[in-house]
Amino acid sequence: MPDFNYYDVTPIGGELGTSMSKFCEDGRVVAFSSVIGDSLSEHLENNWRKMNRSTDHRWIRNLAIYDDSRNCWRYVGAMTRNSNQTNWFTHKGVIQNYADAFIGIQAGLFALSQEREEADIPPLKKVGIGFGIPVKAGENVAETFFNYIKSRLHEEKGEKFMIIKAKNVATGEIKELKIRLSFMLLQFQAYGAYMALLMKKFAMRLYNTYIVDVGHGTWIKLPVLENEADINLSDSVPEGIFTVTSNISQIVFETSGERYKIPEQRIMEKLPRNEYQIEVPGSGIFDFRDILDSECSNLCEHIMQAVKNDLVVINRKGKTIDYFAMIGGGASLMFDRFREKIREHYNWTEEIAKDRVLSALDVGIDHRYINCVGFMLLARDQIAIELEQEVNPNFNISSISTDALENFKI
Amino acid sequence: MKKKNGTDDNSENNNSGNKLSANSGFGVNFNVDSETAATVSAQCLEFKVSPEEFLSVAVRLFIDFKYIAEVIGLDIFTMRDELIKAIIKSLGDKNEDAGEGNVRIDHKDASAAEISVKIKKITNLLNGIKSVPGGMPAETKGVSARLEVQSNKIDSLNIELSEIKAMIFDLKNSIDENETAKIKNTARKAKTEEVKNGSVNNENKAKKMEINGVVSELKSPHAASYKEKRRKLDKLKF
Repeated sequence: MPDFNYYDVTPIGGELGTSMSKFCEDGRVVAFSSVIGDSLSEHLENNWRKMNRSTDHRWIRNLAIYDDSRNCWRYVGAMTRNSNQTNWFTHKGVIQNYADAFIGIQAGLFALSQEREEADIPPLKKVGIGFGIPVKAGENVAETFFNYIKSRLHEEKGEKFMIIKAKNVATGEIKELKIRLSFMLLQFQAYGAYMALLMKKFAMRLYNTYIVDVGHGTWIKLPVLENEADINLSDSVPEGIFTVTSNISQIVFETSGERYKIPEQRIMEKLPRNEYQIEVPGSGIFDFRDILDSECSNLCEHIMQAVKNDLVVINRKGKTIDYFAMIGGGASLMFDRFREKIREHYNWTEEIAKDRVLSALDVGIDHRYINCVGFMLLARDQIAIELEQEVNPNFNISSISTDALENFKI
Repeated sequence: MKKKNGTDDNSENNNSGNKLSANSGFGVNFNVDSETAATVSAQCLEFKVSPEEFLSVAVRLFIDFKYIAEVIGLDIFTMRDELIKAIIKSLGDKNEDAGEGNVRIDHKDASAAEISVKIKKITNLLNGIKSVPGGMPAETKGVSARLEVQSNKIDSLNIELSEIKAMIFDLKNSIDENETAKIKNTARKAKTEEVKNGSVNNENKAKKMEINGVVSELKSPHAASYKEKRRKLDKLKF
């Protein structure tokens, strides 16, 4: 019998990444820095508002969430530029603080609901969440984290609600949102990518897939064999794009006679624009293209070593990998190398390698957002199962909102 | 040797004289005829592997191809014959009868010659499979047991598997390219030989689809449908 309690549940996908947290609902994705910070005092905040010359007054850029466990406002994402003390949601693949992570989820749901309202769609009322947890968190942490979330919810007539009080610090507007939580499905972070590939690329056929998620601070490996994540082989390694950019920063520092330190963030900002030169005061223009190549090759080599070791173990189990996929923010720098290494390992032709080694672009999504889209599909599938319906495997990401500065004018 | 469907396989060597004896190492003894032994030796030389390694690969390939054959509703030997026939037919001159008796490959055509070499290589490998005599289940168990303790052999086996898969993909690619070129060349004649060429083209198209089917199956012979395996996950309900 179909369970009609799931009829009005909106599927949500989400994950707290090492640098960016992403949430997805239908064709909408929101992404903000995975960081939370203390707020300014009311007086200081008023002064900041008066002096703020930015024309970007979007909620996601200027978001504060009320933390009822501390009875104070906390800044989330880009707004933490005004915080004295900041905390990242995760570090080296481990959730740092449940209370902070809870606010991260509140911020994600609020931002999605806000996006809906701006598209003249009613705000979120009842949700089921597919949520990616860091690989190193482990099963016990998943349950503990869930129980923590449950303890923070408000109960009314046996139903659980998340009350979200949010403030747009730039405009001073305060909104309150009440969302009923139906269920939460916790899975390893890279599993989202598998779901997206399963539904969009594999035409709902089960292929053994080896996912590598190269993020900012970590890279994750997750073999999915016969639709199940292989927990024993999954791992989160504290090495990512940050490693690459901070090494470049260090080399620039040494080249300048240890006089000038370029923040790694400045190098990071140049990468999406394919800019590889940076001005070092006193030393001139520094071209870091070769170092970037070399650093990316080193990282790719580390990844390949782990992949090859896992392939031996997988083969011993009498199983083979049908597809490889590299996703995450680092995939744009690393994917071609990774595909070539896999091709060399199997002695595949270019054609086979192109067919078997995939990226998020193969399903029409940016490398960074495939996981949250996949978790939304996972939640959607579970709702369909409860309703005894076929799942709709289609998705079309039409809007992506981030907390990066927009409409910058002076 | 009888094929699975009970018909005689003429390509099998039934010469029982001058047999060599071998012990699989798993308690299974078997004999091979001199021609099979010579084929195995030649293959071992070509691929620089030991007879044991060659046998492991051959058995594994046999099982894989047997599965593929079952998927498309044929036995493995018929599938091999059909595959080769389809490839050769797709290369045949469209102005001639593309029937089995009149197939030809224009060896002056460099790409066709290249393809014929690839066909020959695949045929050689498939001939290697034939050298595995009856009693397959016991040997399969033996191979499985060996796989568990010799990881380096598994690696080489997988590389061999990848090679044969890669060869088939390569072959498919070559056929596609060759087909495109031939379609372009014959397009000018299409008006005058519309009916005749049309029937040949349709036949070639059908054979090409068979090859595509084999190629896609190589990804995973066990790819099940997610729809059949969907199940309620352990949702944490609030």
